[in-house]
Amino acid sequence: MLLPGFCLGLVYAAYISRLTRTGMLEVLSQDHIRTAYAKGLAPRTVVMRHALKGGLLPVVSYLGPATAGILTGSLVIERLFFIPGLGLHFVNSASNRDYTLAMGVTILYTVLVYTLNTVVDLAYTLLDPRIDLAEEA
Amino acid sequence: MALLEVRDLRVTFETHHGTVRAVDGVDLALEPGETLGLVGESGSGKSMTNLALLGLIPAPGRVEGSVLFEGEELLGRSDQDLRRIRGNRLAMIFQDPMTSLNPLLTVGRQLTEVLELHKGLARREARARCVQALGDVGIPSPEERLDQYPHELSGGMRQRVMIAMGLLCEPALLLADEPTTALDVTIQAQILELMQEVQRRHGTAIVLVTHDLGVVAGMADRVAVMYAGRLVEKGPTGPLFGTPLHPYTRGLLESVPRLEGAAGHALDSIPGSPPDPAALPPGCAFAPRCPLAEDSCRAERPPLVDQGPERASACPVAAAREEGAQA
Repeated sequence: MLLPGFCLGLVYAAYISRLTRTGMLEVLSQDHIRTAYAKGLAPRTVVMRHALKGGLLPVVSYLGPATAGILTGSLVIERLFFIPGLGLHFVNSASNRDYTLAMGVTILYTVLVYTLNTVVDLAYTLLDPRIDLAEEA
Repeated sequence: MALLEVRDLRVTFETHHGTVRAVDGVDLALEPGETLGLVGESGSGKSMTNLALLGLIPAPGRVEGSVLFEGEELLGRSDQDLRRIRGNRLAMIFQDPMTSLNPLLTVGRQLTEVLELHKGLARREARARCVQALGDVGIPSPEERLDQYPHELSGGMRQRVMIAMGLLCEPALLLADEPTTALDVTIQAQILELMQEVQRRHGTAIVLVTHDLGVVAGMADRVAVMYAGRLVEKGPTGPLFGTPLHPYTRGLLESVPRLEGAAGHALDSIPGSPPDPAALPPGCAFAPRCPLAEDSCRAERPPLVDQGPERASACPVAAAREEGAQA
């Protein structure tokens, strides 16, 4: 199970590390980071306390689609490693013209994407106090 | 002994377009409890001077010269040493309180961390001190404010928080980088008043960086005028504003809009724009815009020369004319 998991996650890990890098670079160039240094905080504290939260925002927004992608994207991996999973099931249903099963799996995937994106949106309010979902513009 | 003594401070950046001299040989001295106004156009090196004092010049920049603060040399000290001074003995408040406060942390967290760091206070004690500090800068119901985020406060409130933050450890010197520029006029007046009050109470010395001459006139004991990274004139506020010695200072003062005077009269301004700091002219940097410029100005850079009690100017031409007029 180790190797398939690794293969499945590798692409996303690479993308997330890029996102984190970009996010952190952006936050670290902001004015309030200079304020933090001017207070006498150590670089480590500045990064961990002042920059990380903001730098991770883009990563969090990617986590929703990424999780859905990992779950649905497993069909190739399952095929490669001969794992009898949902993805393989989906492919078989298509080639067997089992419409009911194909539709069911599609709906399941759709629900997954929806739910995970909603969870991410809600998680945003915890991370960024400026976002208030209750407030209507 | 002077609280702060800056000698021949230079900040240079190596860029693709050549060496940029952001600060080029600045000398300053400041006594405890004194306010020094540092004025000049955008890009004249005012903010860079301040950041250099804190050791916060961004990466490719090089700082040379000498900065004596409370008898200790700050330049060349390790970051660890400087961190003990920053925010503690030497604090800075920044221009735009919207972007200079962390939007993702509560006001309280941003305040208490200073005390936890420098005074070793526990979170609860630090919090109590911060409530008091916010009250001192005129913030109503400080207890509640501590749990709010910067975006929930108004601009004036945020600047008050900034000031409170700067003063938490009762620093000997407060570097204020355009503290009122982002605020509207009534709030500006309140903030300046607050800074003066704080100064009276704690005896804090202030370096006030601004391009607003009105603010300087009301606040500063002494003024230093910067142009293209150099000091062109310094002196006590009253005499300097009364009889400016350098043509640049004159130009600055003349370009202040006045209430009296004919309506429709175009505002005075200094012709031209500041020079490219990567390609400064060989002589006086102000010569291309100066009404008094002579050939000698363009050939050699005039040094800052003492003229009268506590005053100095870097314009030999104006000085010679002055003498000529008196004779």
